[in-house]
Amino acid sequence: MKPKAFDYVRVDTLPALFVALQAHDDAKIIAGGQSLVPMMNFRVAQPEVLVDINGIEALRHIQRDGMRLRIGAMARYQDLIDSPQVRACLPLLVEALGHVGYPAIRNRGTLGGSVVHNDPSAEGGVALCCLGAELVVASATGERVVPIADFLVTTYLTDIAPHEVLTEIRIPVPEPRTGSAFREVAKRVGDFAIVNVAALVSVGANEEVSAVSLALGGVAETPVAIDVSRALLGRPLDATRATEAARLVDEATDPQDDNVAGGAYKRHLAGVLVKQALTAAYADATAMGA
Amino acid sequence: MNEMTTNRISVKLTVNGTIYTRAVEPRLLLSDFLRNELGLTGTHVGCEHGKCGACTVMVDGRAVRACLMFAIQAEGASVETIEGLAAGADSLHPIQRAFIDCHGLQCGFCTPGMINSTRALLATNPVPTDQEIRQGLAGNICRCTGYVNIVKAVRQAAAEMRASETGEGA
Repeated sequence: MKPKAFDYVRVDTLPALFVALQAHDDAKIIAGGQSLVPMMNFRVAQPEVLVDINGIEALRHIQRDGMRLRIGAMARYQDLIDSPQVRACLPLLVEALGHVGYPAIRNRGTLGGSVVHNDPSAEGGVALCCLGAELVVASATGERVVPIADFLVTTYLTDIAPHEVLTEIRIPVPEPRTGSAFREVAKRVGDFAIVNVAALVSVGANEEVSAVSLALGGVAETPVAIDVSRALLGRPLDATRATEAARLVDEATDPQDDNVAGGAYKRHLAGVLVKQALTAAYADATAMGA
Repeated sequence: MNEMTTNRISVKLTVNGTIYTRAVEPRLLLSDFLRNELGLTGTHVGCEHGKCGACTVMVDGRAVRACLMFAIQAEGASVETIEGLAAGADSLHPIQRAFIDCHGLQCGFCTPGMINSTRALLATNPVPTDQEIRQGLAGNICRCTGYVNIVKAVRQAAAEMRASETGEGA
């Protein structure tokens, strides 16, 4: 058998989960398992106790609540992609999650699990950084709300303690006339991205950019949002403005070599993809009409 | 480091319409459970970390990687493997027939996973474009055929399944 032996606890409610986490200091929570089980099969991860939250129905919701969307930590990628609500108010998330792995991975993997895992080029993390998501982290003693940028500490490390669990992802619904685009380069469809970019661009009455949000994966220890508003705000977005935004991204990042790509190549990709994503998001916004 | 001796846990699940109850170690992967506990060796084990797709099975109607799920997590689930697709060699499923007709397999190692991914694709998209077929099978690696004949097989299977559905409905 591939993984090291472990004890297994299945919980169906949050209170039962907190009891299990308090009873076992060395417990590891399993959600979709599409990152954790490979790590266990390689024995890179060797949890003594696995606490399975797949049965917690209360973590499955996908629900619009005023001007934000609330996503339960156990909502699976394919459920999000297929959700009429997500498709209607967060097309950026749908586009990004379509790049995650393969159909069989998306059928089981969860956005919540991916955020807690915190791969540097995770599509979900990049989209959440761009959308300005907040994460609800709960424990037996209460819950706290953490902005995504604070939650993603560094590669494979997030602001979550062993006795805590991510319960919900809260995403503000973008304003009207906000366009979006997601672009990525990977070696093959479904592979981990080398670099990916998410963009949201809002336009005003004169087609000028009124707000912009941009996030990248693969160029830093975690997905990161980068402020390019000073290159774009108040004017229509053209090739010159997009190039200036890409220059700001280049200044703000220092991609490192890894076993898939060199830092210089990632830097090049980031520039190309930022220009593509901003241009596409702007076109998407202006096509929405006043 | 010593291996922990772990208590076995009872799991009850349906595989190809038959209910099975077994006591297994928590660390037993669904892929190994199907092969070693139930003798259903049509589910192939390749990379065992979710890349190759050879172990793709249907769990509650959705394609999943049997190597990225523990057998005990399939408690109460309905699993379909390649063995459940046809009653025998004389009554192959249209997808199986199409893979033979189009030379969509050589060594056959990837074929059960390819066919299960095809089932899942055609269940939600009965009229896929070539691009959609390629995306639907992107998670299944074949080292022999070069994919062209696999795509052709999926196209043929889709056409046959649509035709038989229309025939039944008429």
